[in-house]
Amino acid sequence: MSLKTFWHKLGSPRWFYQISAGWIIGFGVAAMVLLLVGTVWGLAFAPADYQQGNSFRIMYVHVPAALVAQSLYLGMGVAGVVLFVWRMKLADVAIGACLPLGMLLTALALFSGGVWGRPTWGTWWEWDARTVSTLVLLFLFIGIFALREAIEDVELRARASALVAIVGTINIPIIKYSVEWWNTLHQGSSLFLTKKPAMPAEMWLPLLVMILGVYCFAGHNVLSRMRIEVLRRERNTQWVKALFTD
Amino acid sequence: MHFESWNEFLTMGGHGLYVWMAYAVTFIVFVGSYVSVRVAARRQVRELTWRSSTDSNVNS
Repeated sequence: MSLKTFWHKLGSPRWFYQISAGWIIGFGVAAMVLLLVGTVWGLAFAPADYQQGNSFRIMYVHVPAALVAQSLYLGMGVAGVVLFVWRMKLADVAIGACLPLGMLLTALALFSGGVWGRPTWGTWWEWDARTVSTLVLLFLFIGIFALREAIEDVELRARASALVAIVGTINIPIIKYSVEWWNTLHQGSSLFLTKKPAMPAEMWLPLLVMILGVYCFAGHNVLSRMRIEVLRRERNTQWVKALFTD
Repeated sequence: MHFESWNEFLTMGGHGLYVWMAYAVTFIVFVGSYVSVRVAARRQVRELTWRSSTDSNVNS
């Protein structure tokens, strides 16, 4: 299938509903295996940090939560552009489906960051560039969520939340470079796309497993929510009715 | 295995409270997210099945 036909078919809720059934199973199984392996590996087998001792093990839940929360927001921004440029209704479904998990993962990143900060920085909360920009991310998620609850008109709700999603993506590079632009308490990045990690393999391998696991979990969660919403929106169409009559 | 004993694993060299708190809340968030999406899916299926059954009753 060419990219162009794929793109056209993606606009069809029916096609999405059919094709995503398999993806969900794949993501779900992968997430379960990866998260189980990563948790046991990170908690019990990875060596302790020479400075932070065992508190550094919080990294294995903190980093993936923060990273995937930001990715979900970026996904909403991309979906917002798709909505405006191609008028694809599925993009609005995607925005709505990213919100609950994005919100929870951002809150989780802030929480695990506080719990990690207490023994490491000596405080639960610090008005640090990284933590503040992540707090802004949480407010953006909550804001779009509230916006969608408040607007009843489907068309207007889609456009308004897409617009906020797009504008808010400016916060993503701010979060990413906050540890370089400002003199922060938050430590710098540990994993890089282009150079070697700032820690030994027995420490970063479980982190990689956890990151992949949380991405797969997000894939499962978001696609599942999208399918539910597609069924709801298409409930009066022939193909949905045919699914539930026997 | 990094730890010598169960006790050492649980106390995490004095950081047990923080480590286990972070992991416990993470666990709750993930299980909660999974359960909520399953419940919503089941509810949607039930509603659509119910609609289709009332539809066919009207038609027949």
